[in-house]
Amino acid sequence: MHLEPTDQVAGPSQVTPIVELRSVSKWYGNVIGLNNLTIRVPAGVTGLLGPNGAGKSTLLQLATGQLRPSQGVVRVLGHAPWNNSALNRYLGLCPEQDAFYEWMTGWEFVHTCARLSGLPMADARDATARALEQVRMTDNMGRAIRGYSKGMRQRTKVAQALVHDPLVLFLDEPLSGTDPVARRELMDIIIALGAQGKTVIMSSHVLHEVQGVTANIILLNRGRLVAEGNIQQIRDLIDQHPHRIVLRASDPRALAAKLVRCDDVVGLELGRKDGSILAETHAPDTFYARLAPISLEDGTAIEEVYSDDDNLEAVFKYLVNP
Amino acid sequence: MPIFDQGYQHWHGTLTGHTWRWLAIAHQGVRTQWQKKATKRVLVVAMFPALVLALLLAGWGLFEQQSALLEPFLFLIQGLPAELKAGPRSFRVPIWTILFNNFLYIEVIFSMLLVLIVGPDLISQDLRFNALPLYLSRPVRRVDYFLGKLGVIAVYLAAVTIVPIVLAYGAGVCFSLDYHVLEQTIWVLLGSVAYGVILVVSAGTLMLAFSSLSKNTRLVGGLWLGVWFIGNIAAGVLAGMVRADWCPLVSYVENLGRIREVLLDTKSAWEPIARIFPSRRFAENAYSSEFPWQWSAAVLAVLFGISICILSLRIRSLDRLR
Amino acid sequence: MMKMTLDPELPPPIPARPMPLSRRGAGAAVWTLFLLSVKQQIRAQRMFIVVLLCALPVAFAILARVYNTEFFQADDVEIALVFYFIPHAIVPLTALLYATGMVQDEIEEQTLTYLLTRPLPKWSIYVCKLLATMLVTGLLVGLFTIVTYVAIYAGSDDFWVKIFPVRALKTTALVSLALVTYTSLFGCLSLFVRRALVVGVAYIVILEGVIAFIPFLVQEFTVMYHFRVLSERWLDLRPSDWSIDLDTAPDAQTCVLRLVVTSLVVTAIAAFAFTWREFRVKTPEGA
Repeated sequence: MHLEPTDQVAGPSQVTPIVELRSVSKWYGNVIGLNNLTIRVPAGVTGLLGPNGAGKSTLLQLATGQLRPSQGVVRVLGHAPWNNSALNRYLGLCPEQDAFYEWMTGWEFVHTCARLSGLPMADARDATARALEQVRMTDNMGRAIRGYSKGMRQRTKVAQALVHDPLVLFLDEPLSGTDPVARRELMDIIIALGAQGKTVIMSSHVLHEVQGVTANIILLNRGRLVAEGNIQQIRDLIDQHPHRIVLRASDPRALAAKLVRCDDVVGLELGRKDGSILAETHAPDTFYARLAPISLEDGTAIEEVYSDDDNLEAVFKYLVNP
Repeated sequence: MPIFDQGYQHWHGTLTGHTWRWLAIAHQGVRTQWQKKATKRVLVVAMFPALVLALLLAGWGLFEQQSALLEPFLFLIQGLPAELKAGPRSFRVPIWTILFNNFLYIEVIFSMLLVLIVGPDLISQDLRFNALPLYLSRPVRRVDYFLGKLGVIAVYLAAVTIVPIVLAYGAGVCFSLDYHVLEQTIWVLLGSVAYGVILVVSAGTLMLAFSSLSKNTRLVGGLWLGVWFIGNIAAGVLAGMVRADWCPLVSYVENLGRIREVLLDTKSAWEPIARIFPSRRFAENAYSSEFPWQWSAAVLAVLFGISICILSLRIRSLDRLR
Repeated sequence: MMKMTLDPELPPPIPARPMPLSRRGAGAAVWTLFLLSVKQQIRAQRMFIVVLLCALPVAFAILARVYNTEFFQADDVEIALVFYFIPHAIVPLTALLYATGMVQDEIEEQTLTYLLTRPLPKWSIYVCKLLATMLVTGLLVGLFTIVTYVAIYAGSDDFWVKIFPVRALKTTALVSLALVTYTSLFGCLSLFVRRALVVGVAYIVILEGVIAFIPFLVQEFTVMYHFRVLSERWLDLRPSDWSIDLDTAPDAQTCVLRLVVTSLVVTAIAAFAFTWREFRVKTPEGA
């Protein structure tokens, strides 16, 4: 499925990509990590989605120069990241693995990472304080990391990724294992970073987390690109799968009788447990526009309307499990 | 009802007793260690001395029968003393004892190497990846866990000591064609097997104790090297400086050797050989080490006791795990 | 499976001029890594084990003086401990334990990622760790060599006349040179071989323990041979079983040069290998 030029929104092709992969493949022996992947990630927050084993971490490791592509070209800020240590000054990575120099305190760890990034001593001190404040770890920064909770460890990891003020941030499952409060706080931090003009690529397999921070996603499955772009637009383009809209009315059968006459309605489900009806349509905008007049007609007052699948989970399900 | 709504489900089938619980751990451990190329290579190389032992025992059997098959090798036999050529059967026990003793002396190197390859991972990796709760949260006692892990070392050590001994003994018996061979040499077999068992228990327990001390397998390997390698050198150095009878006690391998000498009664075996071969080299071998074997037994017993204490402290029950 | 991507026939993106990259701060980063590596080596559990190991010669010297007072010969004890036990056992095992762990521990602990994603040239990561290892082990072994001399000769007339400081310091320098060479070798080995500990032990036992004693050309490929030649030339030692003919053996400068060049070459190979190797830190290799 290709986008028609007239339908094309201001997509990645017309914006300078911060991260670009061109026909990139990566294999480990017989196992293919990424398969002929071409993507362009613009500035802002982008969600990198996919089930386990999709290639998200491989992509992040290629972008941060930890792995060399078996084929293809990787560019970050216009430079190839493999064996390019100078580029690392502008990149920050929050890795997935829960690994630290456990004997250090939070302060020492982030400060050491700041110094390893080349910051002079005084600047490193200030940057460390700022980064720990940003992730709300100031109160616990004097304790050894081995005594931290999971949420504290995640925040410390994010802090070390931010401390040298990178232009591009790669966050590999930054919310995994965190409690709801910590999760919300970290999501707010990520949104704020995007608002500050940083490019953030956040990988996750938890859909609502990504949906909470960005509408721009890259969806991978089994090493291949499945979709990229705005969630809503991707959903609209999945024309094999009609939109599912749930309606609750005083007289569901009467409402259904009116809806069935509409050309864009391709399916109706009655007899649901909660008394609602499920309508399937290829043209949700047209459908929604029709609802108000129908609701005003006698006997078909609509009490509730919501889309069953206008979310990332539905996109994910349709694209990953066709 | 979904399974996660059902709560705890007690197993209504019949559980096996504790007698064989350790076998599941041992079985898995053996399979895991078998994956290592180093394990397979050492086992293959360790078979050569066993092959040589079997061939020598078979050859001796043929020599006793004055078999025509030995005609191509007459040049080897011609230099032997007349007393030996006239009545080889009277030297059967000494020769078998010396052959088994030398085999076990050579195999101790492969034994130490095998323990170095298969041993360090056994408990240290469980500690590193926090796998102990996986064992102890099941109806597996600490002693089952310990026996299972010991079983892994026992299988590999037995493969290079006890199994080749039994097979070579069988070959020797078959080629002797004399029904007295069993009653005369059974003590050689039993002594060798007993030594094998002592080696397994002592080396296995010591390695497991080391493995429980650290999550770093390299450090555990270093501890083992210290006991084997440094102990040997230290004993030689001390003997040169202090010139005391107890100097060999510093070497773990020397202590094992002393026990082996007692179990096989090598002193008695060398005496008739020294008598018919009056050269100095054999006369020296006729005398075993000058310190009492009870000292070596005490050293090994103390090491065993310390190992058990360490294991008991390190492998704690679930509620005390950090 | 539907794939939604940009039409490949669309014009390529406007090529952005790559932003200029600055290498400022690389020196500070390297220095920080060096200090971090030193701290790691001091903190490691293995430090405790190695201290015990290095203390063995001291303990043996004291034991010999206490147990064998009548027949105690300081010269013989010096040869047994300082020129056999330390260089044959303590030095190679210390180097093996530390050098094989310097990169491997970071991989197993999964902290190597933090170093690889910093503006540190990859070869400098390896070199920093190697230098930190050499510093820590060198100080440790050197200190205990001197303490061993004190344990052997303290109270004797020879101590201030013959032994300290010249002989003790020369011996310490010799031992340190051997340690540096071993550390470079085993560090390089750990990048190419998975079971570096086992291979290292085989190297120590076969090459340095056996071949080094065989008076044949191949012994010149061992560290121990050069150590012994230097011991004989600098310290006037002549142990009978070393079988070194000083007329045909290389001179002291050549020995030192060979050891230093070997260390440099092996370090360069290892740094090159480290630079081009991929480290899959997410799942520990070999786990």
